[in-house]
Amino acid sequence: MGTFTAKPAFKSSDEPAIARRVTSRRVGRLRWVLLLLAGLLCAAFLVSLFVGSVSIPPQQVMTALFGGETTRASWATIVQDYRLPKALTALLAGAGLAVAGLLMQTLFRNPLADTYVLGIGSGASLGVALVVLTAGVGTTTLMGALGLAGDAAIIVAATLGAGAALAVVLLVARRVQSAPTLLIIGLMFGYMTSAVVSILAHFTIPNRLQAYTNWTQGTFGDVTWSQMGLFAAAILFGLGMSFISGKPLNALLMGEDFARTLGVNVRRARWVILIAAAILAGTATAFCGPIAFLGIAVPQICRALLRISDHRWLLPASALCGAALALAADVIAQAPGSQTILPLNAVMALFGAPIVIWVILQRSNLRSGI
Amino acid sequence: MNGEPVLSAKEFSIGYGQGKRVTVIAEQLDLSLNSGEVVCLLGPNGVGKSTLIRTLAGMQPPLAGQVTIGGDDISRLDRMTLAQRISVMLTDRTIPMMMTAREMVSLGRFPHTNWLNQFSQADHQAVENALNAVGAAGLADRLLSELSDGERQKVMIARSLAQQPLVLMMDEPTAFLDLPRRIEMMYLLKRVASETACAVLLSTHDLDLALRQADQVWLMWENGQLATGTAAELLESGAFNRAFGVLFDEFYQDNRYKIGA
Repeated sequence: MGTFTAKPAFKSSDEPAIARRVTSRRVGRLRWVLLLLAGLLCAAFLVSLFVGSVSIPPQQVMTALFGGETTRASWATIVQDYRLPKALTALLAGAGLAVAGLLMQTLFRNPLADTYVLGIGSGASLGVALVVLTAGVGTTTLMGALGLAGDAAIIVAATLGAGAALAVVLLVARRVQSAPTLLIIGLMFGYMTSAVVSILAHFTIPNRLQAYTNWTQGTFGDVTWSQMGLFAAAILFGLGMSFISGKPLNALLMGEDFARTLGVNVRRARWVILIAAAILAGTATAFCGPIAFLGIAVPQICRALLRISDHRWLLPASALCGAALALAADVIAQAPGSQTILPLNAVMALFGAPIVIWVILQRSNLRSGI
Repeated sequence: MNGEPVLSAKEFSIGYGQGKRVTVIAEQLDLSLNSGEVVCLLGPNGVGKSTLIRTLAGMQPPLAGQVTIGGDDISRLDRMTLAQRISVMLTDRTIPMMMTAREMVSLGRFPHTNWLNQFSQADHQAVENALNAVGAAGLADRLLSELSDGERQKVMIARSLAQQPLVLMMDEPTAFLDLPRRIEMMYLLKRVASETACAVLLSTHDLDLALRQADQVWLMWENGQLATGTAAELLESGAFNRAFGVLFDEFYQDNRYKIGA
């Protein structure tokens, strides 16, 4: 019969010193990765200002950014009123969607969960469809025509839609433990939503339908300066709510029962996380359309880069990486050098889908946690 | 220090449901756990061992009676204080992909740290001590997904120890381990209990190991019947025969075995 004797690997006087050394080496690496992501974000932000379907000399872009006179007046307008707000929108929406995806993956303990796959995007779409297709003024540019009151209505509608979808998914999730089942239910929920949207579309006028269709293709270019304040405030609020949830999120990695035994107020934590995800996904979806794949792909990339599951690192990393990738996708969608602009969601799917496939191939078993 | 009652339940009933749809599992139980002792909870499947553990741990309310830990009624303790006194290990085998053993053990400090989860020197020390206590210091920087079942279970015990509880409760901690690992686990728990003066309650199907190693046995069987005592006392009283419906005493009084010595 085997007797077990513990052999301490270190002499007890060395323990704290070694722990500190190991921890600090790891922290050093994590800081480097975060710095790298921040650097990539800055680079992507600058590229998106300097590159677009209209080619503008770099020094003229600089002049326009600092409020000077450009050789052609239209260049200043393009940089100040189109490229700069678009870049800011991509940055905020990318950060928001990536963090919302991270929250969902941890809460559902499912590596393929995000606000889009679980039907939260569909919920937001339904909310917006109800507002756009049944009310408001029929024009092709959605945000422009509805004005600030309209924006507020769309944000509220998208957030409520996202929240309702999330609540349904959560109710189902409490009964269904299997991750693939939950994803299929989310997918079905998406079909149901699009069915309702189709029915609404049947009874609306063509202009409103066109406005809704444009919205579903996704764009970062529709947020004007007058709307930026509201958009940024909502995203920053959602990010703030997420960032204060780092500690309970870490405990929730091992499941709700586990978190409860560690003293987490699970009910409250779950609500804070769900509301934060609904605000982030709802706002980003309302202003930019249902942007796919960022929510799934970015947290996966960050886990692989940082090799850590601690949310105090994953949350900022996901925000930085999501913002950088959203900017990069937008630059690609502008197809620099050509006159065409590709649909944003097409670009997202082209790059996002292979990452999701990679994630599935990495794990033989989807229940193995996140 | 060891042998003092840390957790006790008086005239205590367990079950679930509310209003008219209450299912009673067991009634009028008087139970206690002593510091430094290992108690094994035995019984056939489906008699409510998990419910008993969950209720004693304050994860679900008792139907009647109260549980006191360290002199306080657990229903009156706030979440964090309760988590500082009772650590629970559940059977969920799902583990995060990118979590190292040290990160898992560090989760045990959760009830002791502030909302930012900032670690003091004492917190770091508690984590290293817990890793050393289970002999997992060498695994500290490995990912949980790379560990064997036995190694992972040691890390999970270290997580519970890092919580520095008065009582450590475990629902079938040996379920997925092979025989040598199960033996190792029981020895480890015995040693850890006496060294840290922590009371250990574990449910198990491992009769043989429980009978040899447990300081006390709680034997639970259908209709909420529960007998407590040392293994020898329970064999003597015929409780095992009633619980499992086979001739346990004859089997264990065979000369090959010496039980409860």
